[in-house]
Amino acid sequence: MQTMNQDQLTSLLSSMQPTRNSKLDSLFALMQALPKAETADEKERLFAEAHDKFLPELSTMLYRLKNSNYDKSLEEIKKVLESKYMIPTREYDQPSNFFQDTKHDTITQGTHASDSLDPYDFFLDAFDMESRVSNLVYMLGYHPKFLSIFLEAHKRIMYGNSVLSQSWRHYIAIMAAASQGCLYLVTLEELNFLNCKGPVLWLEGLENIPTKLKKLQEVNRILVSAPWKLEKKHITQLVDDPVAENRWSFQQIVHAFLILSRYHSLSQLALGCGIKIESDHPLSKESVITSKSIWISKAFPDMNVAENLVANLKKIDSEINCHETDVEKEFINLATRDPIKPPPELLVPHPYLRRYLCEKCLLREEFTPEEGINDELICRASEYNWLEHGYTLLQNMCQDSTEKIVDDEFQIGDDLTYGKVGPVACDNTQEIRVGLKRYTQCLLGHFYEDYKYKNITELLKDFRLPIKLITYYPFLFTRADFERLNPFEYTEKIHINIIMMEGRQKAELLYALRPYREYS
Amino acid sequence: MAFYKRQFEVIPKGSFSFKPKSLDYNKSERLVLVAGRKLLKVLTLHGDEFSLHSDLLTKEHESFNCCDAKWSPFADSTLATAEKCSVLIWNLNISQKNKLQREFKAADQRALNKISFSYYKKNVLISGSHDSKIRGFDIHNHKKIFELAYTDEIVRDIQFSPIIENQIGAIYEDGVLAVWDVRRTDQPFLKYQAHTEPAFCLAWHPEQPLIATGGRDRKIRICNIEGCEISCRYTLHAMNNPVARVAWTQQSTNGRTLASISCVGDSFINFWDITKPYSVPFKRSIEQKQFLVDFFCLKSENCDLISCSSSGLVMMHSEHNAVGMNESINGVSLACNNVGVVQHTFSSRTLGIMNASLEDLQENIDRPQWSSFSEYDPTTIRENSPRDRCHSVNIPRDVSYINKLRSPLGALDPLSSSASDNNLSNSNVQCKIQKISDPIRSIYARSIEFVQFAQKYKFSNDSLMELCKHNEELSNRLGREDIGFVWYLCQCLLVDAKKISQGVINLGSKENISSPGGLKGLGKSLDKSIRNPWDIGLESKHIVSKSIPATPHSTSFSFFDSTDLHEQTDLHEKFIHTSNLLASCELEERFESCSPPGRVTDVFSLIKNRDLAWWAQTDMTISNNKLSPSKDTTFQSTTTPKHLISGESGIPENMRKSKTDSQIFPKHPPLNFTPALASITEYLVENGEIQHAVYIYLCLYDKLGKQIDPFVFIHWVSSYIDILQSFNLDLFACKIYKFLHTFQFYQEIRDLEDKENLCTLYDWDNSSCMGSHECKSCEKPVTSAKPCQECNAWPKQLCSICRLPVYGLCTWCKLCQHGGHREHIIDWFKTEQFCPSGCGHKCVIEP
Repeated sequence: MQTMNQDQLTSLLSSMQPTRNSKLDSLFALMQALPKAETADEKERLFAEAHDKFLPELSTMLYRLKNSNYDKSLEEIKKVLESKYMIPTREYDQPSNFFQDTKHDTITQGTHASDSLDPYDFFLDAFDMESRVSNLVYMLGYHPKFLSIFLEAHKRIMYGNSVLSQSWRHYIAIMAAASQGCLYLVTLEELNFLNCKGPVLWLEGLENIPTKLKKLQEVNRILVSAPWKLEKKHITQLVDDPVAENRWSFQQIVHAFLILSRYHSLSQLALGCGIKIESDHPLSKESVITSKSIWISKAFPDMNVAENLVANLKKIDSEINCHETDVEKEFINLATRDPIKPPPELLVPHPYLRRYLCEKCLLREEFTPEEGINDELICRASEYNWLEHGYTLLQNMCQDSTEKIVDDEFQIGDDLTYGKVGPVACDNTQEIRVGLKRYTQCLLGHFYEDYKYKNITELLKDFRLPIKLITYYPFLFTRADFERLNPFEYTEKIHINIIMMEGRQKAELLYALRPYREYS
Repeated sequence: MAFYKRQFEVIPKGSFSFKPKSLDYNKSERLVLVAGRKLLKVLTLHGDEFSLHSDLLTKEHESFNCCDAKWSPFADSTLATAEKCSVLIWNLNISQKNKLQREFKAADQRALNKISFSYYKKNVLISGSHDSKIRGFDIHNHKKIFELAYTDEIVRDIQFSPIIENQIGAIYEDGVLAVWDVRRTDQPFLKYQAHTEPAFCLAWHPEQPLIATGGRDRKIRICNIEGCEISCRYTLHAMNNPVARVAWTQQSTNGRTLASISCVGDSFINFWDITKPYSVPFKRSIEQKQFLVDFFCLKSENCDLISCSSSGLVMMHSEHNAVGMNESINGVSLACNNVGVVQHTFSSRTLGIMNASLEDLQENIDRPQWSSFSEYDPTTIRENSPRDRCHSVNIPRDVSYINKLRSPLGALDPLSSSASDNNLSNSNVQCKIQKISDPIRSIYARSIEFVQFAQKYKFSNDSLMELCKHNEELSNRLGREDIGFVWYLCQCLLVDAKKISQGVINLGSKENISSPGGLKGLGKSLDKSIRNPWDIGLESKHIVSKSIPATPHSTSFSFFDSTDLHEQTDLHEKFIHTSNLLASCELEERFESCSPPGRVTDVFSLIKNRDLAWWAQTDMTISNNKLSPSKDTTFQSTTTPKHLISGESGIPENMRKSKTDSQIFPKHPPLNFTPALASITEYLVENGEIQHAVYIYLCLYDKLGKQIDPFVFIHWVSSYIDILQSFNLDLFACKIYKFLHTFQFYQEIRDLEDKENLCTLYDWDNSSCMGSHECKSCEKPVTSAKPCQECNAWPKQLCSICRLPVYGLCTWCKLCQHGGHREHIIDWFKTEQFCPSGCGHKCVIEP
């Protein structure tokens, strides 16, 4: 039996980068205990433990982390374990159900054509943070510039200094993802929750969680289904409680809202790209259920979409002195046009998610301002915006400059561009990107007085429906829909989803922070 | 208290579709304009009361949503509102219901932000919009007169200058303040990066060339325009909230007061005195329930202001009635200093409550008894407490502060300015300090003692013997006999051990030595004499004279009294005496009587009851150092050869015949005090008296150095230097630091530190003028004033005056590490003495 001697192991372990994640730590602790095991029985036991806990993941870790410092150490460990067990070499695992990833070699070997940034380094950061390179992170590796700020923000919000403990944060993330019907994020956060030593009993249902956390479910439901309806009374309900333990402090509320809005939008991204469940979760072995697409049934296929898009862009650019359009009317028009209204049987959540949900179906409300532009539900950018109000509130409430990182994330998400639309080169894709974002926000009731909403009707007329679908019912977005988003390549589709995700996050966050103003 | 005179609700209650955004005032007709979403009302101001003059919105203006509204300074009834891309001109003189006179487009596609009328030219209006352009229009013929643009950033606020005809001030979203001259449209006349984050508002001073700007970085900057230059004259730190609007108040004729509101976080109007850039506004208006949207200042005698809240409440305030911040500060506070003394401040109105609960507190606090607070007459301690509302018991630890207060010791305070060294030896003072058994006073006394020692200890520039003697005298004078004894032991260290072993001690025949009874008598007189040097009890008035090292001819060793004796020999005698006495534990009683009760550290208590074994320890080091047992041969060499021990044949001739001669011979091998001293210093350090330990090592590092790990020593020295700096005794700290450089191991340690990025002593490296040691962008340690190795960024230091990063000429105080732009610092020190950063340090500017 090949075993490593003490010195080799010590030198091996000391050559690793310091890492906080418990999984690697426990693996190394195990490996350290191995040579010290005196009896054969104990050795057997340790090996068995290694097998149960780490073997399935070891090969994934190895695959995803080639050419890294960890790699060599993990290889050594693999050799030790191989003496006893067969370690399967993993075939490349697709991160998503919706598309075939053909670029994985370039990513794992650390070269990416369109960007000078190496996504590899960020994978290592992600591995440090969560002891895995999750499919979501892997997929965002196509956009390394965004991935870097995304990981930083994620680290700060989920793992940084805060008034909420880590297990709570992950549980809130589970609640948020479940309310969006996103199985992937729920399973991922469950694994993270267990990693942070959260009580396992909580994962069996909402009845086991503390009352304080249960109170958040109402706000969660409102934020995801109709965020414009969030009012001061909901916050009062969280803050005031006869029992001292159930009271939320303002800082806790703001952080919780940040997590909720973040995970609602992340779920939208995950569902929009159809990410596969992590391989070490028991649910990953189930087959994926595909449902009928709503979009396809309603529209006709259209070719030459990319050229149309670019042509439209040029048309808009050239109209310097366009007619004075009534921005408000356009907005209302855009918000209320073509309601989707899917049949109720489709709104039933996955059985696994039922334990985290209070209600039986994932209801959504589509934003319909009844009084037109003067409806008080509309959130106007001139009156409450991220720049002045949201940023300041986060600055006052959160620690360690969280607001700066969130602001950077929005900024970089806005500026991300590759200079082309599908196969067609295009100098300035800003109109399309801003249009996508504004449309998502418009659907959630955010009104930017400065923006010409007519652009959206002209530019994105082919895409209005899928965007609306992703915004309101991301769990109904199917593979067929994804494929139909022609002519974009799958990396660009991910980009579109990122833009929409950021748009939604900003809108939801502002809705969540707005009632807070009345407390000042 | 009713400070606001009148208020007016412009929005029906409960309605959310109306939102005010802008306020303006027409001086001549005393009309207040309130404009916003679905809102355009004019109010009349009669004296103190508001009344509705007119509501300008009719059915045609269903979707009215303006972001800014201004009265024309020339035509009294004309006002302009900015809405989306167009400007609407209204005229109150129009008889029809719809008072809209004309409308024209002021921006191409993006919405407008702000408008402003010219004070000099009739009908000229400028507009700033989201597309970063400032356009000037003639409102009569709608023609665009000029267009100013230089950047892509959104224009957040613009205003014509009230004193110079063609100047426009504009603030952009990236924080840049631009002053334009309308005759030049491609570049602003002056540009200044006023804020690091988005800036929101701008206000010209009505008479002086000053612009105030406020932004999200919570600062208000006041920039001065002199000819062709613009510079930031003052910076105010506006607490926790971004500054949404800023305006100069009526009292600003002497250029000093500014008012501001913030858009989120609080609903006050804050008044600032610009020459006092502290974080607290010096006055505040009363808090409203809703946050404020806009406000402006009336030019009236009463310094009135009118504000409008987001719920539509227009309210009139007066600056005179604004509440000073210090009046509303909660009058209770608690603080604890490094000696462990609690300072408690409370206002008199809470005193009643406090008295009742004092008894409860007394049980729970085992530190200075609360009852002892009542011994102090609070007014003597804080005579200048404002309005006699604060009673605080403050045990100061700062030297200069002590001088300012009347201390509990009154005129006998050794640190008061009238005291001099002579007073110190005044036994009354000593007794008083000694007698202090009250815990607070003893701690107070300890601070004084610490400072005294720090100021007077010597550790260089003299022979080692002199240094030890001086320090011993000092310790005894200051009432620390135990420390004096330690210094005495240090002197014993310096004794040439060889001479002892060779039996140099030869008293010869002295007349006065012979005493009745020969040796026995000697023994007795020895006993007697021994009594004296240790007898420095509290009753004695002659403290100074009786301590051992005072003079070589002290009465204690009267029978050694001879002018022929070399001083060194004296010390040898003493050394052997002491050795014998310590080893035989004969000094216990003396130690007892010398230790005043209540003193925490006492070396005597350490060395009492120590037996020979302790004194005769081998030279194994006591610290964690892995040095091998020291090869110090002091002990070995003083292992007296057998011939010295009495009774044996080894005694040299000249000594042996000495039965009747008064000779001092060691009963035991003369002790080696080196390891004992090391234990003593460790004991001192552990019990909080690091000061003495440090000085002992500084003086005698050559002898004692091997007893201690150099890193530990440096650690001690660093801690001591820290304490000195906290007492503002920087000069002495620097002296010690300089002295350290002479140590041999010092350079090695420095190299090691550089290699491993440690920072034990680096803080006081006089070769760098840096305020901090970490690169601000990547937070890696920076070694000197060079670009950071990791991220290649120049270390960004913030100027203490203007709070902006310093590039170029800068000046830094080496002691307190604060500084900034050279001109600012020089200007500052023309009139001020203390460091501008507020650290209290008296920086010295070299010419």
